[in-house]
Amino acid sequence: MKNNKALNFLKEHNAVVIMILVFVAAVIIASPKFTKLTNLFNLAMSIGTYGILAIGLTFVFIVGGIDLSIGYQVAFCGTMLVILTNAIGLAPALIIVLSIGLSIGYLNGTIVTRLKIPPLIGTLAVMTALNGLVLLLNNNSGNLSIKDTIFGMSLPEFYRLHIFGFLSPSIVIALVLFVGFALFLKYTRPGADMYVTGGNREAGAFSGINNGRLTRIAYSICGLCSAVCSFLLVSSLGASTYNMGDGLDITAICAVVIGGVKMQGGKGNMAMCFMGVVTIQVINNAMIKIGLHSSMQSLITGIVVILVLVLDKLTSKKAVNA
Amino acid sequence: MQLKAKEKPVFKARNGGIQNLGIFIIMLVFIVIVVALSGSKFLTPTNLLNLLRSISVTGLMAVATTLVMITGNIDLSLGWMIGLAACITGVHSDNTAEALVLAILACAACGAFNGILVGVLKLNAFITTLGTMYAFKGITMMYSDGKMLTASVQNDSLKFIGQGNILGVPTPIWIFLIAGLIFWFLLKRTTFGNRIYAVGANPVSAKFSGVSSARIIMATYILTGIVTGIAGVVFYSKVMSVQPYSGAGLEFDVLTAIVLGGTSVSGGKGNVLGTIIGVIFVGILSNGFTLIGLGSNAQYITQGVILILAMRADVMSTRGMKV
Repeated sequence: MKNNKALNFLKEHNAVVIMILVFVAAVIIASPKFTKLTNLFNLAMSIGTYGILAIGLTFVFIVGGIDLSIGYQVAFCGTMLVILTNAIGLAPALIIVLSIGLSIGYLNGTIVTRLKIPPLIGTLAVMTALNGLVLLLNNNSGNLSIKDTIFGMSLPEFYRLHIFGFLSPSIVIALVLFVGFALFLKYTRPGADMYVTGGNREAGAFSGINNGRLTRIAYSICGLCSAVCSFLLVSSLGASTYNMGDGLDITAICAVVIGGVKMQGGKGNMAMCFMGVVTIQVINNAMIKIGLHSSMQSLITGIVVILVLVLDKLTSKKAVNA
Repeated sequence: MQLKAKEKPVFKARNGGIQNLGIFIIMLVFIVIVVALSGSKFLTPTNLLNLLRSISVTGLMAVATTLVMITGNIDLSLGWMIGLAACITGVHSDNTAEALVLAILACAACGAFNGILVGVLKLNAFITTLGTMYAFKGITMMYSDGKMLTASVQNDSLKFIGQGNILGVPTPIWIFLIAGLIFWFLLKRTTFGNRIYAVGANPVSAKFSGVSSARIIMATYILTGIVTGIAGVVFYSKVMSVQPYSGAGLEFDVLTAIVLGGTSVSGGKGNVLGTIIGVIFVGILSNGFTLIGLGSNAQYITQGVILILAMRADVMSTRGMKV
C-alpha cells in the first residue's frame, strides 16, 4: 500500500527522479571535481541566480502564458542598472530598476490581457523592442562597467561573499523568493486563484475571479524577477553587456519544463521550478567539470527536455484523444 | 464542436488573399515615409533587388513554416537547422551537388524528428522544438567544432546559388519566389493543403473525416526541413563562409514575418501570400532604417511596436467578423 503510494508520487513527480538521476550521474562521472566544496558552492550560486528567472517564468506558466522577453528584460534591466548606478548610486538605481522590471512585466500582462494578443506574439514583440533598446543603450556593442560599491566592497566581491560559509547573496535572495512565493501560491487567495485562471479560465470568470488582473500580476512578478536576476548577473560580472540576456529565456523555459510545470497552465509550483533549475545547472556544471565542449551540453539539455516531455506523456493518467 | 468549426472563417480566409489589412496599411504608410525621407534612394532597382535578396533566406524558411503554423504548431529549431545546413555546405563546399543533397537530407531528418515528436507523440510543439533546438545546436557545434567555415576551393556553381544572376535578378530571389509559388499552390490547390487547414482548424473533425493529423503534421515539418536545407545552402553561398551560430535567432524573424502576414498562432488560418508580404515588410523596415541612417536598434523597437499594432488590428477585425 505504502509502496504504491510512493510509486504514484514518483509518477506524478518525474522531476524528482530526473533530478536525482542527473545528480547521481554527475557525482559518478565528474566526481572528484564535481563534489569539491568550492564547486558545489559555485553550483549553488548559479542555481540561485538563474533560479530567480525561472521563478518568474513559473508564475507566467501557471496562468497559462509564456514570456519570451525575459532574456532581454534581464539585459535591459542590467544595462539600466549600470547606467543609473554610475549616475546616481547603487541604492536608488536598484529601486528604479526593480520598478522598471515590474513595469515591463505589467506591460506584457497588459498586452496579453487588455489587447488580447496571444502571449507568444505579444512577448515576442516586447522582446524585439527591448533588443533594440538594449543595443541603443550600449551603443550597439561593448559593455559598461559598474563603478559603485556595496557595503564597502565591489559588486563581484559582494556576489562571491560567503555568509556563514555556505550562503552567498544570490543563494539568500533566491531562497527568500522561492519560499516566499511558495507560501504565496499555497496560502493566499490570489495565489490559489492563479491556478484556476491557468487551468480553467471560464470557471474562474464564473466564480468571480479576475483572470486579467491575475495574469497581469503573474507577468509583473516575472518582470520583477528578471530585474532581481539582472542585479545578480551584473554583480557577478561587474558590468553589463549587450548580450548578457542571450539564451537565458530559453534556459529558463527548459528548466521550468523539466521541473514539470505545464505550459498549458494550471499546474506547477516552486518545488518543481527549483528541481528543474537544479537539474539544468547540475548538467551544465558537471559537463564543464569533465571538460566536455559546450556543444555536448546543449545536446544533452535538448535530449533531457524531450525525454521529460515523452516521460510526461507516458505517465500521464488521462487518455489522450484526438 | 461542429458548430464552432463553422464559425471559424477558415475557407473565407484561405480564398480571400490578404486577410490582415492592417499590416498592409502600416506597410504602405511606412514606405511613403521611407521614400520621402530617403529621397530617391529607396525606389531604385538596385536597392529593391538588394532588399529582396536580403530577405530571401528568411522568406524561404517562412513560406514553408507557414504550413507548420497553419496546423497550429510552431518550429523554434529553424535557426540551428539552417546553421547545420550552412555548416554542411561549408564542409562540402568543393562539390555543390553533394552539399545540396547532404544539407537537404540532414534538415529533412531534423524535420522528421520534430514531426515524429509533435505529430505522432503529440508533444507540445513549442517546448519540443525548443528542446530539439538545443539538440540541433549541439550537433551543429560539434560538427563544425564551433569554428568559422570558409570555402577552400573556388566553386563557381555554389557561388552562383548565392551570388549569381538570372535575367538580371539575383538567384536567391528566384529560389524564394519559386518556393513561394510552390507552397502557395500546395496550400491552395491541393487536397494536402486542404487537410493542413483542416488539422489546424479542428483536429477532431479532421480526424473524423479521415485525415491523419500525425501524417499531415509530419509532412509539414519535413517540408520545412527540406526548404531550410536549401535556405542553408543559399545562406552559405551568399558570402561563401559561415559562423555556426549565425542562424540562431532566425526562427524569431521567421515567426514575426509569418504572424505579420496574418497567420494565426492557434492554427487553421493563414496563407503563403500573407507570409511573403510579411517577409517583405520586415525587409523594408530594415532597408528603410538603414537608408534613413538609423541603426538596427531603431528598427527593432519599431518592429516590436508594429507587431503589437498589427496583431491588435487583427484581433479587432476577427472580433468584428464574429459579431
